Amino acid sequence: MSATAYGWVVLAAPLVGMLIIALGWRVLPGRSAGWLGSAAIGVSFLASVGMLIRLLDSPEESRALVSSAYNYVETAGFRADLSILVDPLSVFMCLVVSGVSFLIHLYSISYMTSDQGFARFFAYLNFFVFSMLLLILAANFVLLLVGWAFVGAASYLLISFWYRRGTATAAGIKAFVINVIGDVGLVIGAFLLFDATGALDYAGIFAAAPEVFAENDGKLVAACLMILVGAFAKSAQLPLHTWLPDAMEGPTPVSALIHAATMVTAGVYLIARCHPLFELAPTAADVGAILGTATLIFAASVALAATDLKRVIAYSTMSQIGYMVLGVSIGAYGAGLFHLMTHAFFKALLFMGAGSVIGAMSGIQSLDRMGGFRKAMPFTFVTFTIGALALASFPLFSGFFSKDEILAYALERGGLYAILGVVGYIAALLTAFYAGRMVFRVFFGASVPEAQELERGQLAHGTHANPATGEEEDTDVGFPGAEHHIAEREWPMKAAMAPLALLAVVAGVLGIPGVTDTLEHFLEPTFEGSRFAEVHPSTSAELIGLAVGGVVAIIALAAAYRYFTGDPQARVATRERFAGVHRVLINKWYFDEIFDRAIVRPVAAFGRFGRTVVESAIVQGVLVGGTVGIVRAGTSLARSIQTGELRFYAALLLMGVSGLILYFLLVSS
Amino acid sequence: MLKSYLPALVFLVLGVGVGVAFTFANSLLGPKRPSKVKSEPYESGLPSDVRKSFRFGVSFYLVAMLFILFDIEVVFLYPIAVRLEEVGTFALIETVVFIVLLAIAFVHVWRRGALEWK
Amino acid sequence: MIELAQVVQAPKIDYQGLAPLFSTIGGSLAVLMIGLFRGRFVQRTLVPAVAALALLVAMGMTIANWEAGDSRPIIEGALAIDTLALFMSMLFYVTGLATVALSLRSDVQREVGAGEYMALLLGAISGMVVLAGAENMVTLFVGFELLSIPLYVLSAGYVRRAHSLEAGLKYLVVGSVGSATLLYGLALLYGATGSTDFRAMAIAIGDTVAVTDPLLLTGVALAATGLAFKASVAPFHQWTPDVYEGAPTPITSFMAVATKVAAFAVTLRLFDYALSDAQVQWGPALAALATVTIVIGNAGAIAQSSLKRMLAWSGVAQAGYLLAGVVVGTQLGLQATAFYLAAYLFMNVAAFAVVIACERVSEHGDGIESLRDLGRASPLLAWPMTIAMLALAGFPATAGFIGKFYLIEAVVAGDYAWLGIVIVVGSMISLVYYLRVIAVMWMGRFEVELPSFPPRRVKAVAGRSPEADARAQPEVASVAILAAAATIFFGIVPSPLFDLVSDVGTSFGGLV
Repeated sequence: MSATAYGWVVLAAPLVGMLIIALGWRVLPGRSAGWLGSAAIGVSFLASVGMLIRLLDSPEESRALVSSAYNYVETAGFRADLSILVDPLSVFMCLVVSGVSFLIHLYSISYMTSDQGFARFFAYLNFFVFSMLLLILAANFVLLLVGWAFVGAASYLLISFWYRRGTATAAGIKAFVINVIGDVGLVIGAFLLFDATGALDYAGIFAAAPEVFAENDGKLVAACLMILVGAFAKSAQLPLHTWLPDAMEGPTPVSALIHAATMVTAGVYLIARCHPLFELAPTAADVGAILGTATLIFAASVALAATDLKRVIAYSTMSQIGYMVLGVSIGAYGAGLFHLMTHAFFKALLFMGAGSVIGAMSGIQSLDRMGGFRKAMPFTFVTFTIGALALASFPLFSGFFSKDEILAYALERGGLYAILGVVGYIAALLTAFYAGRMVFRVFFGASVPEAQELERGQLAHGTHANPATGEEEDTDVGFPGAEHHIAEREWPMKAAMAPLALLAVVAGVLGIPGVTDTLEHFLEPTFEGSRFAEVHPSTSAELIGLAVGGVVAIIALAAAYRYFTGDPQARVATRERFAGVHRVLINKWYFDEIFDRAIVRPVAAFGRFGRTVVESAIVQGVLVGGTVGIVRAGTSLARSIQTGELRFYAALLLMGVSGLILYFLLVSS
Repeated sequence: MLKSYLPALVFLVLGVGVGVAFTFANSLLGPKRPSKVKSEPYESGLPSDVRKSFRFGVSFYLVAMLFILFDIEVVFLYPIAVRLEEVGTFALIETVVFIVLLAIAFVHVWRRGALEWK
Repeated sequence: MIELAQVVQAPKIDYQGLAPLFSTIGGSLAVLMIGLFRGRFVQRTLVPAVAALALLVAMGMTIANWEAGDSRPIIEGALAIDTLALFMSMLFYVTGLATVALSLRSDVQREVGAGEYMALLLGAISGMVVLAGAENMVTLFVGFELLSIPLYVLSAGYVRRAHSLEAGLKYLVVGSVGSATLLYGLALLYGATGSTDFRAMAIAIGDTVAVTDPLLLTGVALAATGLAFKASVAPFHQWTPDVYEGAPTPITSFMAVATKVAAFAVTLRLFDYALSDAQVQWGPALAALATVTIVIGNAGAIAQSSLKRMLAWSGVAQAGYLLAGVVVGTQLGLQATAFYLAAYLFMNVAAFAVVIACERVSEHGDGIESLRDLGRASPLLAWPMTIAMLALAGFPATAGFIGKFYLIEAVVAGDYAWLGIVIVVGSMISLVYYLRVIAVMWMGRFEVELPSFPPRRVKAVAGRSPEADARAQPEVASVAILAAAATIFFGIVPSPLFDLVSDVGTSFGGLV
């Protein structure tokens, strides 16, 4: 089979899985929907491997293949094919997405066992994977937009999966609205590009762009900024980030899959994919780099203070994506994507571990209530710690190599980028500190009752309640199921976490400075036209960067250890000394409040003004009454001409004729 | 060009003239001896009692219309008959088609009972 | 005398090109004769079967005649075939077949007589085919009347119902005014250009006749009026809701689709071919008409509680969109109009089929209430209706979306970008009434807020109560499903239709 044939299989498998589960869930017994869904993704992963092998077989210059299933629209000057692009970048993304997705499916089979919406969950999950792969494999902006909108929809469905939970549905709506803002941005961006280049497929646009646009051409910058709006909304970057922490309302596997490993990295993929455009519009690329850096430091600081375990990881995700955005915006494509991959491994792992801990806490997510799980949950402890060390870029773990490569590259480019790099190192300090905070607060310290119970072999059973509001819930469909599950007792969860833990440790070997550059080399054909292809920090500079990064991580972890396992009184004292800072952080820098004051309230006030003044006073007073009145008025107008009497019709006909003749006679003179 | 229509004009004038002449010649030349009996609509039989508001049955219109239809249509055959030799077989076929169409219409009208007086 | 003989020389006739017309006219005569025999089999089965056969044969022959490029005369100087004519003919035949199926169980057939009903239907289709292929203003008018007169009769198909008679009479009177206006316009065009032949007219305009010639432009205005009437373009649309509502629903669906297609076929030919050099003059006027039509059609449809009236108003609005494709007078506009006509056919046939199925069994007749909870009661009908409504509103992945997209592209390329905006705004307004239908079908409890009108229920003047015996109507359901499937199919795989209309685009050689 050719590489593109594999590509179609990659797309088809999750689609078929979704259809079978969605249509046949009534007759699928027990957990079979979960196995079916996992198998579909497994096939997808194998096909991705097939693509990889075929691609490696072919010579480097012919590693970008386009296959068109059929031509959807072709009119003069406009064409949109249903076509996929198989090149190193898309194959790399497919491997990461389908691989991680497969493991998360496996994990979900246990995690969601007792949920009443088991089959529905896997149908959604398969749909998400299909959409994500479509987004990745699309060879033109039309198909990209389809995938882009589909993943937004899938994300909405999964965040609101427990649809009877008010907070979950509200979070779903918030995510959807912000994602639609991004979709609109992307549509406008694509339109601007189409308008200028007359093409919608990547190859056509990238080929035409250097001829149509001058460097930093206003239109191109506008188009790139619009693409950035799309990318930032999907990747939860400032200022379109507010949906991501709320999205933690979804089931934990969803957080691991969509809101850590795959969907939120779509923005990074998009910038990397459009790199020829961003290189022609350095202004837009700089905007991306600066906002990415702002996000990474902002989110890292908030993660220091957040108390909800899943939200800490969510902010950490934003922060790490900030690194990736910084990387791909400054031309460090290989490094940015390398970090994307390692992050997918360790962040999915962290979420899985968090899910296991939350299971042991019978649904409670607050860090303040956790502690001392080290002995009760050895497997979770080890894997979670590995994930946290990779996140903290502890020496020789995967995150160590990938993150520092981005920062070394930023320093190499100098100037503004060097400042951004330094900010990145500061955030790395914070990152290691909050990574340590999670581990030490959850697994160290005094054992909480749940941990003690678990040590006695008993899984805690709490009341079923919404962790955010404390509202009581039943366990029927639309709410979480009755049972909680922990990795220690479920082999599929272990089977999913163990490979990820391994990868989180060793994935760094794909890009050790001066030793290996496997990934960079593989991605080279996609980025070979880049003007930054030759910019590369020297090996010694990279090694120095690594050393700095390693030292930073170790110092921060040590500080975290002292701080969080030491005297609790000292902690309280510190918090009180920095009460102002803490308040800002715990309130997420007041971003939601700023949004509320700056956008939501004015809009609402405008709406109230419209309702009270415009509508009731003007419309209801002056016109017949409310919107119904307008319809009535319009209708009665229509009815008054539409009398049903022939002579009126004839009269109108004559008037029309007279009007037309009059017009033409005026034209003629 | 117009000259070729002159005979037609002459024909028209003559036709109208003769008609008028004969109409009025009678009353001008003939003797007039009116009497009561003579001025009745019919010299023999019963005087009709037709009122102003009398309405013909709908069948009358139907039959009248059908008569006009078929009568007038057949008139189209005359010009073809006159010119048949010059125009040749094509006109003959056309004529046959035309008659067949009329026949179908006739059969339809007949079978549907439009010719029955109801 | 010898000269005269040469004048009446037999015209050259291409019998192969003429064959579809023979089939429909022959079919019309055949069903008329067969219909004379009584008996359930003949009336209910044989007559519709023969009519359908005639249409299928005509279709086959039309396909055999398909050939891109310039027009080929089939009766010298009167009729020609080109891809435009053939494409439109196909649309007529498809609509005809759908109408035959939709009429199968309708008691209007019994009321008029199955033979007469089908004969009139086939006669109207023949008129449309003539109209689409007219090469000459005289043929145009003959086709125009041949299409109109059977429809006047058919609209009054329920001869025992006052409402239907009213529809027929209104259509006759207003239609005659329209025909007269058209004829007057054609006469003036002849006077201005000195020819009734389209090709000769096209050559004459701008060459021997100035494009600002008052005689010519008055003729254009009157001809435009006559055609606008047939296409229900505002302000000549007033008859539409009344006639659509009163006429038997299968006939309404036929009129809504086929008549509109025919009217646009001939409008395209007259304006974009014969008068194309005067486009600068008539373009703005037609653009204004299109705008007025879109606004009035959409405004009128919002307040309708009868589905047939709603579809009538929506048809008015759609005519506005279609007219926009004529306005630009380009090859792209021609293609877009042809494409949208095909899409329009499928969307409307699906919608009307569902209306027919529901009004036969519901006590609400064709009121929107008759669709209440259809989603649960009969999803096989609710889905086609949903698809039809979404497509009419221009929802993506339906043929309606592609069609509108194509039209907008054409008007923007033709320097009428503002008209594109009008189309978009009109489509947005139209969502109000299209989505209401969907809401009623799927959300049973949804209360429709409509101003209450005096009920205009169809009352039987005499005779039995209408259509009480139709409960299972597989043929109606299959028409709805097929049409809806086509709507979706051409929304997802539009390339076959694109190929056809790009052939159609080659019809008028001179267009850019």
